[in-house]
Amino acid sequence: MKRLVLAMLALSLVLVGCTGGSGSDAFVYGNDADIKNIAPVLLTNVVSSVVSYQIHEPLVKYEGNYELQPALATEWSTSEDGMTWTFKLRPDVKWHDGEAFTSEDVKYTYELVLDPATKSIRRQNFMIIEEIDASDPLTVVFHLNEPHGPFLDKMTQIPIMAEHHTPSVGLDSYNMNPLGTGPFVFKEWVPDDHVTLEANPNYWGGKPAINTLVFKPIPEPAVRAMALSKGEIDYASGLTAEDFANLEKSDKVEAFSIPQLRFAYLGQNNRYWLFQDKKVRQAMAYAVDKQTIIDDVLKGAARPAVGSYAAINEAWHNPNVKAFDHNPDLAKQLLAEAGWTPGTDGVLVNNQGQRFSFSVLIASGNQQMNNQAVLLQRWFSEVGIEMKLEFMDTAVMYDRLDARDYEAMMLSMGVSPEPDQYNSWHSSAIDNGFNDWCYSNARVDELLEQGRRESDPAARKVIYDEVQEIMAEDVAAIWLYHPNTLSALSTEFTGMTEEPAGQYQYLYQLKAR
Amino acid sequence: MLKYIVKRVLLAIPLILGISLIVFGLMHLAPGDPVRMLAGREAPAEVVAAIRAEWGFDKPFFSQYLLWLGRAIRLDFGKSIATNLPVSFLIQSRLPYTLKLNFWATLLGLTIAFPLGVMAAAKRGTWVDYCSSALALVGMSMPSFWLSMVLIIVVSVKLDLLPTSGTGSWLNYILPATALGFSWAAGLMRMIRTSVLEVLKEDYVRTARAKGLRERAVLVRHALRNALIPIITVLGTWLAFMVVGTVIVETIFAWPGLGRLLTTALLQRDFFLVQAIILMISVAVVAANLLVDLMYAWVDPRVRLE
Repeated sequence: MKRLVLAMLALSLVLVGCTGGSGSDAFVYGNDADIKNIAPVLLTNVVSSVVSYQIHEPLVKYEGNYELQPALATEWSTSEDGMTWTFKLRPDVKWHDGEAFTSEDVKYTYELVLDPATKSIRRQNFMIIEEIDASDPLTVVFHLNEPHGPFLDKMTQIPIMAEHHTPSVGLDSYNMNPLGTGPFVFKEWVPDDHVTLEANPNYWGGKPAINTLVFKPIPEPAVRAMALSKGEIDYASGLTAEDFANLEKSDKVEAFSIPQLRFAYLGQNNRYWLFQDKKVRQAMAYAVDKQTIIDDVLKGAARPAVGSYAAINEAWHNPNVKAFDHNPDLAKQLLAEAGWTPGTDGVLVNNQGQRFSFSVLIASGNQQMNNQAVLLQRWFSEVGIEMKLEFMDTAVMYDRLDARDYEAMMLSMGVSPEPDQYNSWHSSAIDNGFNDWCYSNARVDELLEQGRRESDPAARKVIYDEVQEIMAEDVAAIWLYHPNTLSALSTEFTGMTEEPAGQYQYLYQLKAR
Repeated sequence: MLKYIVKRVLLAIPLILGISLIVFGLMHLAPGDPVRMLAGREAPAEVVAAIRAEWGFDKPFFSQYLLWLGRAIRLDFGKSIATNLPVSFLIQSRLPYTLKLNFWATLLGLTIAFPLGVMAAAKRGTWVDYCSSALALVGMSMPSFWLSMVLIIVVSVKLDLLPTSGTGSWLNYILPATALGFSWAAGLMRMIRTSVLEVLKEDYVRTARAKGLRERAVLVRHALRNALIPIITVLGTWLAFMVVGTVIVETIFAWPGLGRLLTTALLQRDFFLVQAIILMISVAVVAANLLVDLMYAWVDPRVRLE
């Protein structure tokens, strides 16, 4: 018996030796979740997009600091009236099965998105398309039903699917048999365990240096960080600030803290009676110390926000808007001007005896949100405002937001580099859209309508500069910060970019050291 | 015997139907909408409404339930809302992993619980008893997510003996099976100890000792066999315990099993997937209970199943 145990131990040590390290030509990418559906018309979460964009490619893509770059389209132009967009397609591009890529595939893909039976959440974005002309195999022409400034941005959202392949596979089982033109070819998917891709030897951009690309879902962030430091995976995405700080000290990994366009905010319901007075909203903005949240809660991995447009979006960000730097005295003064006087329990009251007290909805299970809520609560109480915390499941929170049944909420929102934020801030989007803040300003409405019809970038810049000025002055929401994404790469590999537009589209450039 | 089994199986049908109706009702009553969870905050309301209609969520509750039931009887569980993939495929791909993990966890649990439980009873009041009691106390009070993280940090990171997570080789089973099996073994161990102690007071044990049987034979042949009845009752709750355990352990160890699938499905309000998994688990629990009842008759010939 003893001998058997010893033999087992010895064997296990040998086997452990074999499993350590993942081999130099295989790259293992650790994610927080498994893919859902990787069919480009059905993408809903980040992980599915990351995997799908290795296999499929869109017509145009963002690179570097959000510059639009050619992908499957080499050049594009729009007509004088902005109603027609023409794309020249890259010649000699082959699908992974050897068939030629043509304009019919582009037409097919966009018609698939528009088909209600597809159940695509992006269908609405493409309703402006009237007709797609694919009469020339290497030219595709989109006829729109109105001029649309953000059209090119929308062309980055849906990678192209193969017309000769997709219908026979079907969208339901597309995950088992996807086909694209991208740098990697699909090999296998074992749900919740891994997705394996292999280098496409015929890729038009050159064969990738790594032969095998494996995506592994590891839901627990701490375990993901440990798997990276042990060499079980070569890259870990979505790290927490604490794990990131530990990994930064290791000489076995290179840590990346990359700014994002996403903005985090405390959103007051602008229809709620407490927040009707602009002075009150400005006072609340002054009461908050953004830099302390960034330093203490996010360990420095964020930049202060002055609006929904991040400073790294250089083409569109307006730096000359009103920034509300921490100033509790000014906050108190503004609240006094708005008619709020300290009550017996330290909370402000108005002349009708109503207390300045509101509750904020927060998704439960997120330590970072929890910590920043407690900080905000303290700063507000310093100026006499009572904020109650209401923690709940994300699904429940979304229900409350949809019903506009809340006083305030705390969330963050991902935005595209395109400046059109019509669906978020136009007053028509309060009842029919995503204006969760119930923000309404007649001038902003007018500008947002103009902006999406305008195709000239210089004219659009003027429009969106004014939108940002007004929204900052109005305190449409209490802007907090733009968080960085935290990730780390094993030093056995090089070639990962630090550019904001995203690391995942450069995976084909990765090389073993 | 056969008549008894047939009767029990027939009685299980309304029970399972009832469970399916309750779960269906709970999923509809619970706040949160699967399509909104899928589409995200940014999707316009009309897109969400259109997709809801495509899934049939705009129909009245009972017609939705009957539609589902009609298909479920023919073993068609529909599609997962979050992935658009067939529910049967998603479950089939996870089931083997969960079964294998539970098998090893159970085996580990039994090998810890039986010897320690019997020994603690036999050597009552000695250091063996105290040590096993302490171990049981630790096992029962330690939450499995905490035990899992400690195992990863100590065994995998500090000692560098085993992989942190995922699947691949048999080494990947050790940590999750330990995390899952240990806390189960702790409760079982206490149960075995109490039950054996109880039996050791019986007259026939004294008789066995008096006729000069060795202590080992007294324990195994006389005491343990008779102590098995209450222990088997505890084993009946084994499946329910494992289901709860896998939900946490599989998520931490990135194990591609049913527990993790159920967790994500619940958070996403993925109706049809949740419905199918719960139905499967309830069928298994009903079957396990039937098995336990049959085992009573086998262990104790005095029990007659009528």
